[in-house]
Amino acid sequence: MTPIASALHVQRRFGSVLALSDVTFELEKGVTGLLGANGSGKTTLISLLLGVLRPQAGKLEVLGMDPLKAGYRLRQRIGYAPEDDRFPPDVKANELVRHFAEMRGIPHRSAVVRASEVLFEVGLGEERFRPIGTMSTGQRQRVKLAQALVHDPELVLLDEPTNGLDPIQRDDMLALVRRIGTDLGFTVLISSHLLGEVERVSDNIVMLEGGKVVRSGSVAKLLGGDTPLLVEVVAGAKRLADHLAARGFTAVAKDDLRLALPAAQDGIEDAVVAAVVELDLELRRMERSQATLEELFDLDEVAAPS
Amino acid sequence: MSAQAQIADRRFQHYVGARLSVVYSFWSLVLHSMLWVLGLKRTARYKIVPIIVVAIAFLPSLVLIVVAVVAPPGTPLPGYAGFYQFIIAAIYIFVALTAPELICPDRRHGTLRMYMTSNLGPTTYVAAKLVAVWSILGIVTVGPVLVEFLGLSVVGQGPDGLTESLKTLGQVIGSGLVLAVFFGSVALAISSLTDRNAFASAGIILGFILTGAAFGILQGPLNAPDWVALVNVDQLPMELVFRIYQAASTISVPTWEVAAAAVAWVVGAIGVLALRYRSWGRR
Repeated sequence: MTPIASALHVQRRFGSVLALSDVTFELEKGVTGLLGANGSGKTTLISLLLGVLRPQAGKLEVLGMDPLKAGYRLRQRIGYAPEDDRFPPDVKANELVRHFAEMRGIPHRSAVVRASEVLFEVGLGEERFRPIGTMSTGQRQRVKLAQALVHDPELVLLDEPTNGLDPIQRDDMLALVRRIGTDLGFTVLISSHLLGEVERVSDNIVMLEGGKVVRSGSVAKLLGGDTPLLVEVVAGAKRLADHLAARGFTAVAKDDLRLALPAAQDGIEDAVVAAVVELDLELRRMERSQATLEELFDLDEVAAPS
Repeated sequence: MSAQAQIADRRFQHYVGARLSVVYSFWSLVLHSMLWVLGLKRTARYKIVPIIVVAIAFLPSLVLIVVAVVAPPGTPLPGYAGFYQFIIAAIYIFVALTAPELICPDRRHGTLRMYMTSNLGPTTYVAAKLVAVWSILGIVTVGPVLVEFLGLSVVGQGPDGLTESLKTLGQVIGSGLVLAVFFGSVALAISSLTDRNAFASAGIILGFILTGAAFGILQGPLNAPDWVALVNVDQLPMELVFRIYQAASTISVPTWEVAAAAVAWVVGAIGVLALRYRSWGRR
């Protein structure tokens, strides 16, 4: 299947700062999480995909086109919601969304209709005639999302759409992003510095660290069928981890109460029970359960330190 | 249920209509910018100031028409070129009000980045804003003199004959456009240097008034040569207007030099805009 976008050994530098280095990935249909800490190069990568920035090395392709050469023909097929949400406060939501539909080539009459439809779709049906300055942060983020969807793009780039939201608003926004990627069929790239967020909404993941792609692929594959062993003791999880490590097992103490052990370690259950008895610890729980990406990455780092 | 009843599918529909080109988005931005500056489709407080300034600009032409009607025959009335002295303050205020409002909020609110990722790029964005500022300023640079021309023609004190009327109409529109293009370009260039409307407005007013005062001193007490007027943003466009109306000039510099200097100012202003927005090119 042809990827929606791809990067091959892309590099971008700002002065002496190497923002992106040898970035290679493919963006498939569905929702992809672009994960990385602040300053890891997420916004730079989005700017490159939009054709706003020029890569200094490597090759980029978006929707089968070179972002730099395709110009507006590509940009009108991409929806983009920037990190910033300081829209003009006195403009009504439907006016702003209509205007940006027109800026992406949608004729006026269709733009008016679609602005209302898409605002309704993101949950701003009643509020769409309100000035943006009177809206909450969560509502402004939805307006930003609406203007990115209004022209029915083939690729939607969302730069940190949950910034500034409280936990409830964040949950709502993530559910909305998931829905536009599944029910409405948009291909979405959502950037975030929170692994939990990305894991919740994404089919695929591209993880950046210091301007490099450190992991990429399907979330399902990364999670795999493996179910690591999770052990909870009353106290002494770190001692237990050290004890197991001394016997050749991989174990990660999350704190002094819990530790996680990657699957596919023969005899791990027996080894844990023996260690608990030997160290005179109190075992509270031992079970296999689906790990989160965060737990898997923690385990990977222990198993194969870079 | 009536026979006309229909089941309407109100779910989100994917768009299958036309996707228009840069030209459409360009004119859409021009229109949006003009409505924005005039406060249309915005809350009432954004409409008040533009309406007042436009009213102030049109007031002298209405007064002049009334004077033409009630004054005894033969009473001298100011010519079209001289009429600008009554409205130049309103023009300056309108310029200082509109030019910053056209581009500063886009940078301040982050919407500039949205434009740069739409059909438009830096060049088309700046071009749309220039066309918008020229068109908006035309309201106060062409409008009042046009009203004067039409009013005087109606009361029988306009130019004699069709040929003369058409010539005067051309001068009215031409000189108004010259002022709109000159003041609009320079003011937009000044506005591009800051994100804050207030700083830009102050810069424009100071730029026009202070340079006018400074050159007034140079050309007056200090007896500077006439060509100094060519670098005076306050005097140069009005000098060109005098030449268009073939009115008495204040300096003895050939018309082509005056026109070339005005063009140089406009090109320079566009150059400043290009420099300010080049970072939005495909870096």
